Amino acid sequence: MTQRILLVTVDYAPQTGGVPLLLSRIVEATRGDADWRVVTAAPAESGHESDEVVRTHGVLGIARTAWRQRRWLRASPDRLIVSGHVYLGPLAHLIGLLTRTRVSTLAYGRELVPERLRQRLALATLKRDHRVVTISQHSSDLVNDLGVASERSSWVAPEMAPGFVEPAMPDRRGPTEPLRLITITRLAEGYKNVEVLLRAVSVLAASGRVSCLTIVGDGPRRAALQQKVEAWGLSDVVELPGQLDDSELSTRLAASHVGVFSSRHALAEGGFEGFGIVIQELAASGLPVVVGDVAGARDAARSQWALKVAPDDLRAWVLAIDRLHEDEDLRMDMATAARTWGRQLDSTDMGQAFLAELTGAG
Amino acid sequence: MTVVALSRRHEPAALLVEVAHHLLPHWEVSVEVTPAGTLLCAGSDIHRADRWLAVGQPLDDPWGADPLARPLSDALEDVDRFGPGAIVLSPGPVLLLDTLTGHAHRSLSGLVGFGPHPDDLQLSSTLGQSSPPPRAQIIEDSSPAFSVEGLMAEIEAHTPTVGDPIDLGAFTAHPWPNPEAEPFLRDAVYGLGGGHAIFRPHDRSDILTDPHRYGRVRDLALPELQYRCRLLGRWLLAPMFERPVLDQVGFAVAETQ
Repeated sequence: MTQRILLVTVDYAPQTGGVPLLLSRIVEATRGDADWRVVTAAPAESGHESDEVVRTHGVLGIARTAWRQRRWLRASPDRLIVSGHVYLGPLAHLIGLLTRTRVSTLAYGRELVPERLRQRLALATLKRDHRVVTISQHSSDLVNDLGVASERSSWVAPEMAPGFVEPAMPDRRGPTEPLRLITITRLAEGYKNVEVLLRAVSVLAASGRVSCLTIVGDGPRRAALQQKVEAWGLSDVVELPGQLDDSELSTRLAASHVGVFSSRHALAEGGFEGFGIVIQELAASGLPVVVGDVAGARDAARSQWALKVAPDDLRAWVLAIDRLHEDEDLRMDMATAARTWGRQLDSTDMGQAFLAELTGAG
Repeated sequence: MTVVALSRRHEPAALLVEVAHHLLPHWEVSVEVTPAGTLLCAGSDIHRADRWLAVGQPLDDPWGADPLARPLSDALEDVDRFGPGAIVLSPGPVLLLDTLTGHAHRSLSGLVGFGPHPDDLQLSSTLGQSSPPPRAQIIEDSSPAFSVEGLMAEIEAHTPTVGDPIDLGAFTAHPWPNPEAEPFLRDAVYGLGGGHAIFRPHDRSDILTDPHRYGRVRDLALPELQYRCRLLGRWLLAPMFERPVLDQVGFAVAETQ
């Protein structure tokens, strides 16, 4: 009988963001290898309903709904519960205890640095997991720091084929043409470090090296960032169009020369990137990417298409972007390498790699 | 100590007389006529390249805490390449003067300013210096997970071991009181390697959570403290006013110079 896997998760498609995307891709990619049932608090949208996904409200709703899946789960001798968030670990283990089912956990990044006692207690259940699978070396190190034995933890890079259209071959820039930069980021947290990009662009635009920075994404900080753009005299250079659909995003990416991803590791917020799927989306669209060399972003960036810089070092950002402005051959080589790399991304391979690690078959 | 004076109304000899009481006997002093006016330079840590003159101590560390210095010539190379706005690429106390136009640009930390002292302002006025400190525009910008304690821990993590406190009130730098600097003359500035000093006041969490106070300390107190440190032969560093902190406090102090 096919292995049955109960996934309990707060986040899931059609929500935007890296975690919902990753979880839905794993499930979609491994339907032939496992029989999944997803219990999630993520609301549905038209076109996303299915028997496979049971939607509810809040953590209590997840607990009640997951418990109702016990008969379905126990019908298979080969079964597993996957906790899609470490803070659901105690619930997953309770159901696992009552149904005699092993529990594995997917862990990402920030949630592995607890701020409150309740979170600390939830993390304690990781040590009882069958497997803990993370998305970067950085997150794997954090899991090991929490006491999870290294032989029961591993990481898989969530390298997914992007949802937007396949990019054309990169165009060569004219000799005096300034760079157009683009980043994609949630505008909610300070650790996204957007300000370093604004300051870098302020220097580079004044000297004619950059003509545009597009900051795709939305969140509560967008208004403040727009104010900063105006206060720093960058209204003609920086645009914050908000969240874009895939079609519009593809258009903006195709019109750009360089991707930038500036996240830092901020003690002030306990914030950092668990991986940085956006880095690879930028590359897969045929752009060289300048990346803050820290936390999970370090694992997401590949040397053939990424320039890594210390995220706090404004001068390093300016010099790296300027290098791509001055050396068009280098920019073209990196853009071509990025496009080639992106074309070989296969979400099925990624999903199966995650499944193998979660089950312990990897 | 370093003195730079630029005047459109003084001949070289007259400017020398005007500034003489600021100069120490052993200093090498140069005076020349530039398109922006008569330029007097005295003391150390000055570098000139074409139209640009830089004063200060640029640092390698973006947090402006590690006293490892970069040459002033590097800062001027950035300016030559990217324009005067590139002075913000140099953490630490740095000031850039354009001898063609007379415009001055300072680093983001404001660690080299025009001074809040009545005599400095009078001198500036007399000498025709017209660039005031940047005005701070407060932009409310908070992140739910931000904590000032975490930010202070991050600053500390970037700061090398500090030495003993330096008493900057033990001598009279000016006959005029500076109420903004007064609270920081004792137990706020500490010794640091490389002959530097670091601004590390006890109430830094209060400063980091009050945008108006943050701006006042940066624009009014720090120049005085820097002046006093320079009289002791030290450069004052202030990581809590450098870009990584400036860009993540729960508000934004936008530069509008």
